[in-house]
Amino acid sequence: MHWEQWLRIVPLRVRSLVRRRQLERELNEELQFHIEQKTLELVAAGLVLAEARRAAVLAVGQIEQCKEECRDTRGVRFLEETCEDLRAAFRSLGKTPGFTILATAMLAIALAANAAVFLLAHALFLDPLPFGVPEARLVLVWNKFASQHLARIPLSAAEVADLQRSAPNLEEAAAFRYTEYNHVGDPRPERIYGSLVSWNLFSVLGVSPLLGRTFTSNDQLAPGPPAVVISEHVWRRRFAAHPGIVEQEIVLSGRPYRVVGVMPATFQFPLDLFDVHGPVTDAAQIWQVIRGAESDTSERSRRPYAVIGRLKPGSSVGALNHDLESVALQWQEQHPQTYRGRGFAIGAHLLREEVIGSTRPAMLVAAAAALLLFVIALANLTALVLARVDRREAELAVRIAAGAGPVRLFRQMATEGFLLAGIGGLLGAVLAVSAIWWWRTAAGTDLPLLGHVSADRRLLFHLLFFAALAGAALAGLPVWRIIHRVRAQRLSFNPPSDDRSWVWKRLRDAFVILEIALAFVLLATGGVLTRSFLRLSDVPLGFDPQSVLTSQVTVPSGPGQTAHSTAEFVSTSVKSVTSLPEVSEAAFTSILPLSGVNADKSFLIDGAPVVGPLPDEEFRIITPRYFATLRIPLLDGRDFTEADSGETAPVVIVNQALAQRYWPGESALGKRIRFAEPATSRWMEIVGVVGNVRHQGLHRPVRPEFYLLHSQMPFPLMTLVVRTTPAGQNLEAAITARIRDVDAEQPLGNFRPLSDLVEDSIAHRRLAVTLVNLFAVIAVFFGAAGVYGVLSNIFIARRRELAMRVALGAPRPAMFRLVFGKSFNLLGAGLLFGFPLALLANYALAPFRYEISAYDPATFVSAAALLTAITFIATFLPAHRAAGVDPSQLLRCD
Amino acid sequence: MSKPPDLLQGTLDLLILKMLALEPMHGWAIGKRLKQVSKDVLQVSVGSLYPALHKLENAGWIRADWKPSENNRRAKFYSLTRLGRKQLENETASWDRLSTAILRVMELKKA
Repeated sequence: MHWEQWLRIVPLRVRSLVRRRQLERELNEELQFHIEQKTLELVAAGLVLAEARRAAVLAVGQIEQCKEECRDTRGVRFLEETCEDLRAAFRSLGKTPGFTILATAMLAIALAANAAVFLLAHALFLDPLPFGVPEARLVLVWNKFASQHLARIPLSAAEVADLQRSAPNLEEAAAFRYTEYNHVGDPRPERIYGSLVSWNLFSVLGVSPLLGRTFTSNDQLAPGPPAVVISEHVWRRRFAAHPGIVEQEIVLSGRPYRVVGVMPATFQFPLDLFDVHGPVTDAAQIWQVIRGAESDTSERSRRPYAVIGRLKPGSSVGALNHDLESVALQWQEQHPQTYRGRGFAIGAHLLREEVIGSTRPAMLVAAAAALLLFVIALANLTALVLARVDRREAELAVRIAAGAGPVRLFRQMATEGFLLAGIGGLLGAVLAVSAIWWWRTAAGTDLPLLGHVSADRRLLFHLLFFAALAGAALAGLPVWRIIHRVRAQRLSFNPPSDDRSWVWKRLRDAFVILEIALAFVLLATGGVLTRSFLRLSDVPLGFDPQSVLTSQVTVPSGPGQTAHSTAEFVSTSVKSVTSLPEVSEAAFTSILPLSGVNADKSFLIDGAPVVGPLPDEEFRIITPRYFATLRIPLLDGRDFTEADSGETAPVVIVNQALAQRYWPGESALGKRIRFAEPATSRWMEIVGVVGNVRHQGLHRPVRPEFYLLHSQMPFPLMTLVVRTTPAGQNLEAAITARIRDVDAEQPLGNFRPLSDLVEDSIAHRRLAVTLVNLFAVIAVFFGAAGVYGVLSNIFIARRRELAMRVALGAPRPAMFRLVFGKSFNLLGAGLLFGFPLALLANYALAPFRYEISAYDPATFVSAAALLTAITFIATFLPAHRAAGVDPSQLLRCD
Repeated sequence: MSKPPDLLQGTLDLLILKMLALEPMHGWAIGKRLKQVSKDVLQVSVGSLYPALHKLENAGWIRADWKPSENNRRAKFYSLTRLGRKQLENETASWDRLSTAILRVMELKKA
C-alpha cells in the first residue's frame, strides 16, 4: 500500500476504535435519513404517511445486517473482538482467584528461575572475552605430572622458550605471572596487582593501548629501568590522568620503572576470571615486561609462568595438543631427570574452558534444574487449565447453542491462556530482575565471569520466548479439547463425567504423574548434592580457619635491603602484631592453603641413590609459629624458632604425607634433603613433622609438602596470618598501623578471613546445591498443587456418582479410600517413572558427588517420603469433601 | 440481501467513485442518480450501497461530512479525496481495458 494511503488509514482506524459510539450514532442517522427520504418519496407517490413509513422500512430490508456489514468495513473488528475477549478473560479469571493466583505464581516462579539461570549461563558461555583475537584461538598451556597427580602446573622460562620454537600450530605464546607493587604516593601507599608478562603478550591477545605503545622485543633487552604498561584505572587514580605519563619514570616498591603505555579500562588481563592466581580477585593493573633474571632459562624446574598462546589461523586445540605430545617426548629425551617417570605431559586448553572450568558443571546442573522446573510448572498448569475447561463445558454449550461461532469460542479460550501467560511473564520479569539484583549484591560474585550479570534485553527476549511457549500450551490444549468435544458432538450442559475418551482421561493424569516424577528427580538430586556438600564441609581441613585474618605483605626487597634487614622486618612485624591484645598468634607464609596457588621443587635425599626422576614436592616458606597460628598439629620434632636463621644450619619441616612417602615406617627426623637446582644448595635437616593440610581443595587428597624457613629462604611476597581472640573484631586498622610502624611504605589492605578461602573453594558447589534445592522445594509445591487440582476436579466430575454411593449407603471411610486410592495411584506411577530418571541424573552429577553413591538409599527414601507426605496433605481436602458429600443437596442441585 | 447479480465485483465501487467525482452526494442521492443515469438498469439495494460507501470511506478514497440536505435535514455527504481521485483514474483505466477486451470477444463471436 502507498504511504499516502497509510497516512489516511491510520487515523481512520484510530477513529474506528476511539469514537465507536459516535460512529454507531452516525450509522443509525445515515440509514434513518435514507428511510426518511424513501418515505418522502412514497408520500409524494400518494401514500399515507404511516403506510409510507412502513413500506419504506420494508423496502430498505434487513437493516441490522446492513449495519453489521458497514461495521465490518471499519477494519478493527479483530482488535475489538480481542479487547472483548480480554475483558471476558479478565472477568473469568477474576471469578476464580484461587486458580488465577496459583497459576500465575507458578508460571512467574518457573519463568523467573529459568530466565535468571539463563542469564548466568549466557554470561558464562556466550559473552565474548575482552580481547581482539577470536577466543577460539586463545589457549592456556599447562604442564602435567600425572604420576604425582599434578595438573595445571605452570612452566619455566626455559620451557616457554622451547615451546615457542617447537609447536608448529602455536602461532605465538606469551608467559605471565602474578606480581604486585607497592606504590607510595597520595594519599597513602597502595598495593597494586600486576603481572610480569612476555613482551609479546599484547600482540598475542590482539589489543592496543590507549596511550603510548605496548612492549616491543627491544624492551626485554634494553638496559635501564624495566618497561611497564599501566592500566587506565591506575593512570587516572594514581597519576591524575597525566597526559605526559608515557616515557616517564615511576617508582614502584622502591625501584624505578619506565611507563611505555596505558591500556584502556576495557582491557583486563589476567582478569579476575582466570583463577590461575588463586584468591586474588583484583585484576592486574600494571604489566611489566619479563627480562633479565626473570627470563633466565637455566633453572628448568623453576616454573613460575602461566602461558597463553594463540593458535595459527585454521588450526585447532586438538592439533596443538598433538604437537605438544611430541614436544613432551622430546623434553623427556633431553632432560630425563626432570621429566622421566613422572607421567609428564603438556596440555593446551581453550581459554574460556579454563576460565569457566569449575563453574560450568554447576551452571549446567542449575540450568537443567530450572528447565525441569519450567516443564513441571507447565504440566501442572495445563492440567489445571484442562480441568477448568471441563468445568466450563456447560457455559460453552449454552453459548454455542446461542449461536456463538466455534472460532470465536476458540479465540476466547486462547485469549485466556495467553493472558495467564502474560501475567505470569510480567510477574516473572519482576521476580527475575529482583533475583539478579540479589545475585549481584549478595551471592556468587566470587565466581568467574558471573559477577557482572545484569538484567538486559536478552532477559526480556528469554522471558518473552518462554512466556509465549507457556501461552501456546495454555491456549492450545484447551482449544484442542473443545474442538475435540465439539466434533464429537459431546458438548453438554452437564459437566463431563465418565464419558470422556481414554486419551483425555489419561492426559491429565499423565501430567500429574510427570510432575511427581520430575519433582522426585529434583528432590533426589538435591538430596545427593546436599549430602555431598555436607560431607565435604565436614572434611577435616588439617587447620583451623576460624578467627584467622590474612593480608598480603610485600617484604622490602629493593636495593639497599640485605637478607638481615629482611629477616628483621619479618620478625619485628610479627612481634609488633602479636603484641596487640586481641591477637594470639601471628606468622607469615608464602602460600595459603586452598588459595589455588602452588609451588614445587625437585630435591635430593641424602644417602638415597638417584634412580629415575628426582623427588618433586610442594613447598611453602613460613616463619616460626605458623603452625601454631593455623593450628596445624606438630606431630614430631620441633617448630622453627627465632634461633634458626640464615647463619645457622638449614632446617626443614615436612608434613606427614611426605614423611610417609619417603621414609615409611621410620622417623623422618634428622634426615637431610637438598634442592636439585641450583647445584650449590645446602643440605637441610628435617627437624619436625606436621599434620597434613587439604591444600588443593576439600575434595582432593592431601599431598606431600615441605616447609622452609623464611629467614633461610627469603621471598618477597608473603601473606600475614593473624589468629585473633574471639573478641578480636575489626582489627584491620590496628594491624595495618602496627606493620606501618615497622615499614611506613607498606600498602597492606585487602584483609580476608581465612574462612573465606575455605568458603570460596566450595562456592560453585554451594551454588549448585542452593539452586537445585530451591528448585526442588518449588517443584514439590507445584506437584502438590497439581495433585490437589486433579483430585478436586475428579471430585467435581464425579460428585453425583459419589453422592449416589453415599445415598445408597456407602460408608464415609469408603469415600475417603476412593479419593486416596486415586491419589496414591498417581503418586506411585510418578515415583516409578521418577526413580530411573533420578538415578540417571545422579550418575550425571558424578563430579558433584562426594563419597555419596548415585543411588544413595537415604536420599531416595526421604525424597519418596517427603513426596508421599505432601501428596497426603494435598489429597486430604478433596477427600474430606468427598466424604462430606450431602446426597440430598447434590442430587437436587443438578 | 445479495448484491445485484449484474454488477461485477468492484464495479459498484467504481460507479460510486464516478458519481462522487461530479459532486458530493449523500447515499440516497447516489442510489437515485445511479438509477436515473442508467435508465433504471442499475438499482442498488441499501444492503449493498451503504457497506460499499463505508468501505470506500474506511479505505480513505472518499470522505464524509455532515451537511444540511436539500430539505434541510442533516445528511452524510460523501466526496472524493485526492487518493480517491487517483483510485478512480486507475479503476477507470482498468475498466476500459476490461470492457474493450470483453467487447472484442463479443464481436469475435458475431463474426
